[in-house]
Order: sequence, then structure tokens, then C-alpha cells
Amino acid sequence: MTPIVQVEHLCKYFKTPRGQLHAVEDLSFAIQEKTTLGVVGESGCGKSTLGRVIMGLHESTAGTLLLEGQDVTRPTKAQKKAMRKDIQMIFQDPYSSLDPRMCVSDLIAEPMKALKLCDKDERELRVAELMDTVGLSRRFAFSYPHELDGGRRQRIGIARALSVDPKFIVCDEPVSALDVSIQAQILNLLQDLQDQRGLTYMFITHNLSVVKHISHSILVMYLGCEVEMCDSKELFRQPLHPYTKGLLSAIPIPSIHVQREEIIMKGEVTSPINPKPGCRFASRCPYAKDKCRESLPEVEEVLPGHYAACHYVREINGLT
Amino acid sequence: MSLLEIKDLTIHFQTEDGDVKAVNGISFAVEQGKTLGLVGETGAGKTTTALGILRLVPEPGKILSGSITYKDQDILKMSEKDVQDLRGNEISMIFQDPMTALNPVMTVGDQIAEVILRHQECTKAEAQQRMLEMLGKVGISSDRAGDYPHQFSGGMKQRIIIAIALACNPKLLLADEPTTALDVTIQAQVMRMVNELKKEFGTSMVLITHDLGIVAESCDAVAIMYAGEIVEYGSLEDIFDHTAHPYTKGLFGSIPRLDLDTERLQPIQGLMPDPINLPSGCPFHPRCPYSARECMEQNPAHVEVTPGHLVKCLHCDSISQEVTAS
Repeated sequence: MTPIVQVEHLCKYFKTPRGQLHAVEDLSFAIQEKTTLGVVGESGCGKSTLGRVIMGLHESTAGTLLLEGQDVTRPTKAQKKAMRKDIQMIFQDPYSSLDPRMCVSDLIAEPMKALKLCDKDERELRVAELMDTVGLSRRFAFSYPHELDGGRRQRIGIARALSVDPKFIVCDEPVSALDVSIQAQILNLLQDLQDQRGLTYMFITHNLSVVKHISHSILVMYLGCEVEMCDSKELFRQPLHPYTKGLLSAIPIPSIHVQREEIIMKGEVTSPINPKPGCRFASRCPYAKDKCRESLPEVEEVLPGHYAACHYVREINGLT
Repeated sequence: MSLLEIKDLTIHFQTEDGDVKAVNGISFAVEQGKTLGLVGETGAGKTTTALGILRLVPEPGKILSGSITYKDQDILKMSEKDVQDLRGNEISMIFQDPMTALNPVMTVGDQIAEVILRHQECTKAEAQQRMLEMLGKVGISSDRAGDYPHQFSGGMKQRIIIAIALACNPKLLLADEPTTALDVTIQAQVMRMVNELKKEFGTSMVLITHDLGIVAESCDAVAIMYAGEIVEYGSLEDIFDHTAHPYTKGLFGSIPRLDLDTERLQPIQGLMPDPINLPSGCPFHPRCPYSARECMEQNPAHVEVTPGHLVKCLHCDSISQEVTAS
């Protein structure tokens, strides 16, 4: 089956006064229909840039991007328009991603209007339907964003994304700005929508508990590079890469009976500008040897369907 | 004897739209050397409570009633000068946002030395010495004392704020979401450091957070806040293993867990109430799955279900039985 999204050796560099910033470095993966790929990493690891490149908001520096088998790395005008209908995005901050001078029904109708999808009457009908779908009471149709709380604003963001009936949605930290009780409501809504409409998600977040809950497969990023990728359950059962291990052990567990094994990673994330050769994680890795500082490890299939990029992944995990 | 004891504290903000009832008659105590977790969502009144302890509630906020007893003295009855001597010296605070809590035009070394010079009788050279010691304790090399805040990363700025808070060896530390703005690996580093320093200095702590994972690892007692009230209060074990209040139950049902596989989260329905118009009766009743007619009419008093475990719910007995059964 053709995957909805497929990227091969995707790179995105930015020019900065201090040199070239390697935001996304040689990423390859595919997302199958009706599944969710979770992308996790700490701030500055390039996960949002990756989302934006796939959305077509940034042009990639190298590599190819295929949507349903079609090459859209350098899209034509017609392809761009089609992409806008097929791919939508839900943004992190529901406070700044909505025009404060538009009321809720106009906000939800705007994408349909921009893509000239249907006439005015049909649009009104669709807006009412969408408000029901995302659980926004119709009495808010003429309210403005500042009158609503974060959870409701995020529901507007979701309704906007759904309005053009997309196949694929990039969710960039959609619940990070919300309180836990509201976060759970939105996560359930996103799961229900996936079941009902057969949506495919790329779910970008720094929260590993959230990503475990919602994803089918997970890509772990560190300073623009793929560190590990596999099935969601497998990743939490058997993390292979030292960074993933450290990341998992850093999360406090809300139970007084579970003792987590603590691997405190020393130091902080280094700069992605003009990165040194070698593994990006070497400076913080407890297992780093000379080879790690010299050459960047390639992603390899260590176990069936379980990919990791580390020179010593087999030694560390006692695999032969 | 408790180091800090708060009784019936009420703090309202008098605005043009009406009274914002931020904190409504809360009581709790912090024991010597222990950590109390103050847990709740945005707008529950956690930060206002902490600011109230330091008498720093901003205008138009007013502490309407209650007492805050610190070492046999009521902070609310002290003179402003005495409170100033207390702040940063006996009681200090770690603020949530390390990006804005530091002075951008002052070197970090001077900012740490400033609080030492204000509170301790010492020469500039001694303060300088102590400042370098504190930098070492929070893991920042002493040659960076002359740098400005913008030259540091978020995690390092938070370390500097912790150094300022601990510089005078306070007896009580108020930590307001100290790691919310940080990445998880940095959060683990900072929390470990705070807990080690706390042990070393014998400091008591009020840890404000919404992360139940951090509570499980760092606290001895827990107070769950909702709409300006403490709805459940008890030891770690009381809260985590014998959950009795529907709101606390809802919080646990809302968080995805790394150690468990949950197919579907059980969120709390509805939204936080507007603190200007709190619902009648129990403020949680519009969102509560156990709500009955009497919940709309009377605001329940605290019930001591087991010694030291206080719950503010009319139906807590049946709920805690249900939790134990499951």
C-alpha cells in the first residue's frame, strides 16, 4: 500500500549569521494511512521544522517528499493547491493561531472559503456540523477567540483543520498549552476523529506519555537527526538508543509504587549550528567512544521494524 | 510543631467585573524538613497562595481573612520591614518562568550577591565568596559569574534562580512550577539538584505543580486545589492509593501513563469555573460525575476519612470504597 506521506533523506538547513543551522538532517520515514506517527524530542530538535517542511511551509534543502506516491518536493502551483486540501495543521498555541478579529463561525469557514470548496449556504451548514463534531456548543458561533478558554480555542483549531476534509493532519504540540483535564478531552477527540474519518496524523510533541498514548509508531529526534524509530509499544518496552533510554528515565511516574531507574543525562543540548562531525548525542552519551566523535552513525534496522542510529547499539543492549 | 501553618486564608482580587475569588478559606501546614505539594490546574489559586505567604499579592488583590503562622508569628500581622527581612532570607521563592524572573541588565553573580548583602551582615568580599560557592552548588562554573542572563540557557537560568533562592539558607522554600518551562532531561537534573540541596540545608518546601509524577517523587504531603479551595489533603499514600475526591480521581484519569497501557483517557467533563461566579454549593459539582441535589445546595466541609486525610466532598465515603475495590 502506498503510504500517505513518505520522506527520503530529507534535509532542511537555515542560513544564520553564525553559520548553517542543521534543523533536519537526513530523515527518512513513511506514514501509513489511518495511523499516527509520533515525533518526539526536546526543544530545538527540529520536530516543528519537520512538520513545516511536510506541510510545504518550508522548502526542503535536500531529499524528496512524496504524498500518496506523488513527488511534491518542489510542488507546482496546482500541486500546492491540492496539498492545502489534503494536508492540514493544528498549531500549538490556540492563543496566537486564531485571528482575534474573526468570530468562531468565520474562523471555521475560512479554509473552505479560501479553497472555494462550497457556496455560502452549504458552508454555514458545514460550520454547524463541524462545531458539533468537535464539541463546540453552537451558542459560541458568534463569539470571538478572546472570549473562549484554551480548550475551546483548540477545538476551533481542530474544526478549521477538518473543514476541508483533509487526509493527513500535522498536529504540532496540540495539547501542550492546555491543562491536564482539558488535554485528555482533546486527545480523546483526536482519537475519535481518527476512527470516524480514517485520518492520518503526524503528532509532534515533547511529552512522551502523550505520544505513547496516541501514536502507532514513534520517531525520536535529537538535534535534527533520527535517533530511533519503531512501533510505539516496542519503543517503551525496549528502547535501544542511549538517548531514548535517558529520555524515558527522566519522566517522573505518577505512582508511589513504581521506582524508575534514573539515568541522569549530563549537560545540555548542543547547538545545531555548524555541528561537529560525529554523533550529535556524543557529548551527553554515557557510552561515547572515539568513533562516536568522528563519524555520524547511520540508521539501521537493529531488530525487525526497530531502527536506531548508534555505533554501539548492539553492545549496549547485549544483542549479537 | 509545624514550621508554617495557614488557617482559613482568603484572597480575593477586587476588579471592576466583580470579586475574583482566587483563594477561599484554605488551611494547611508544612512540617520541618518536609515537602508539601500544592497541586491543581491553571486558576486554582496555587500561585496566589504562595504570593500570599510572602505578602506579595499584587493589586487589586487583598488578603481578606485568615492567618499565616511562621515560627509562632503571624506574617499577616508583621510590619512591612519585618516581612522584608523574612523574604529571600527565611522564606524564599523559585519562580516559574526563568526567562523573565532575572534582571536582564545585571550580571548573574551580582544578582546572587545582592540577596546575600541585603540579608546578611557581611562585606562585599564575603558576599562574593558565598556567591561563588552557590554557583558551584548549582553546577555552574564560577568563571560565568560575570555573564548576563541572556547568555545562559533556560535550564541554567533556572539554576541561577535556585542559587538566589538558596543563597541565604532559607528555612522555607516556595517553588512555583520550577521545571514547567524546561525540557524533561533538564527537569530531571533540576529536580534532583533541588532535592539534594533541600536535604543538605534541611529546608522545608512548598512545591507548586500540576505534574503528579513530580509530586510522587518529591513530596511528603499533598494538597489538591480546585477553584481556590483545598479539596483533598493528606500524605502521598492517602492521595495516590486512597484517592477520595472526585476531582483528584479525575486528574489521575486524565493523564496518559508511561507505566500503564490505557486505551482511552477518562477526562473530567466541562471546564474550570469562572472565579468571579463560582457555582453554588460545592464548586466542583457541575463537573462531578457523583453530583447530587445536595451538592448544589451546600458547600461541604472537610471530612477526615482517615487520620490526616481530609476530603471536601459529601460522597467521599462511597467514592473511596469504590477506588479501593477497583
